[in-house]
Amino acid sequence: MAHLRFLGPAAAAAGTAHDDIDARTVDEVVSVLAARYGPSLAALLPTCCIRVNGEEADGTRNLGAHDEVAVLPPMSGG
Amino acid sequence: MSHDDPERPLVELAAAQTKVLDACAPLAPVVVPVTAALGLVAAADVRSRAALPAFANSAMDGYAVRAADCTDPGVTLEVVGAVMAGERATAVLGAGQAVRIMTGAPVPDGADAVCPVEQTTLTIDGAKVVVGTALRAGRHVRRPGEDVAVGDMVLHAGDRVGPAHVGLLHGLGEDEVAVVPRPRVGVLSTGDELVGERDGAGSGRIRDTNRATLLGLLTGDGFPAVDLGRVGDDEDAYLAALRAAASAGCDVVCSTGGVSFGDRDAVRAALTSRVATRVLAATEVAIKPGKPQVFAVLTDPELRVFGLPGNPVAAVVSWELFVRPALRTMAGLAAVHRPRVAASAGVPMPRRRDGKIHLVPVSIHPGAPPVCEPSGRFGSHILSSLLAADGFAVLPDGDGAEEGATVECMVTRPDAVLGA
Repeated sequence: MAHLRFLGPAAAAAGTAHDDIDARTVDEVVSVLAARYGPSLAALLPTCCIRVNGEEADGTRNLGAHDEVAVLPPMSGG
Repeated sequence: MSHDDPERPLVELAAAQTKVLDACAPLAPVVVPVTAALGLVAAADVRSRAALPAFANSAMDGYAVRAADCTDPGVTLEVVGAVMAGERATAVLGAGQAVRIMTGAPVPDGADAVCPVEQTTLTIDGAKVVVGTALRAGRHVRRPGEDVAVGDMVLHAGDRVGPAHVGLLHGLGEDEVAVVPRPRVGVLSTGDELVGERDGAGSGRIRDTNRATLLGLLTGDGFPAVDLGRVGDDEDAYLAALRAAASAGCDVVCSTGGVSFGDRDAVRAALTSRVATRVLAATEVAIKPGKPQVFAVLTDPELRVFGLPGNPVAAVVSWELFVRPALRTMAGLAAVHRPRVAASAGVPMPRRRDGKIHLVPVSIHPGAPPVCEPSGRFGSHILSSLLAADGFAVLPDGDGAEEGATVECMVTRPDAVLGA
């Protein structure tokens, strides 16, 4: 269970700033975000970026229970 | 200032430059009036749609003649008219005839050569002229298209448009040209310690010098600059300033300060953890000064942000090594780096071994080889060392250079090296 964190306008679009997510990789997280948090977040996602524990991570990165996956919003997205 | 930390390996200068330049590309071309294109890079080839000169004209003040009449010196011809520059030639020259002609005036039909006035003698009544020299066909006549023929390439994509290009394009009747625009650059200073130019410094407060310096560097290189002011060590204020820059049409923002690993390094924090980026390099580069560097390409809008170190010499070194090459890439220029010259050290230039390239402000005196010497005390806070600097000695890791040793210098004032 990784920790999911939405920042700024991404939090507004998701309707929450924090959540837990059961996913093994970054790609798995990304693949469920739109369905799980709705169209506002889906619209924002193409210009968001994903960081794991504050660092760039590629999609195949494996996630552990203590990893924080952050969804960073685009500057103009709010 | 951060101290060297083995947990944070230094990135080599060349790799750091590559990361930045790989994320920069020429801006989308725009069509501008020819006069507005000066100094910009042409985005497309331009082939001439007209000939220059457009008509045969005289290269001399003198007499238009038929070369067939002037195979020997001393021939006397009848003067049947005159044609001035700007006039249309009406006379048609017959055998044994000449027409008075001025430089630039159209050569009359029938004439195929011009005899310079110095080589002629006019009769007292002005009705006849003695041609003192033999003339070949075409002598002193500028042929149509002799300068530029229809279809000639007058501007290549990638050429920097110079005054002669502008003149020639005007001469060919071209009104507009496609060019790569220059990136528009916002300049922002950060730091709670900064005060304005008119405010009192002291008690821990200092006047902001970086913004004025960077705005000057931008203007000097012809890049449109936007003064974004200064903000404190505050991530929200920093992001708000970036939004303002995007609204002001900036392609690039250069901020100074806040990029190290201190408690209040808001720029590094904002760019790494608050906003989506397509490219992010928040690194320490193996150079001195200028070690802490942040470069980010935001996703939306696609704003390129340079977080430069706040120490004034470090900021200028960073401008030279990263910002200026990036801006020149975006402006479509092929040569993006400062030229380098092998100079002789005029004095010993010792340094200690620390795994970094040192960039030492130097004055450079013309010669073979040119001679360099430090233009002030070496330190990232010694802005006065740049006053007389013509460039930076690039000292690789090691013990430095002895007097007379060859030192590679990055030249920022080429005129100084050329003795101009």
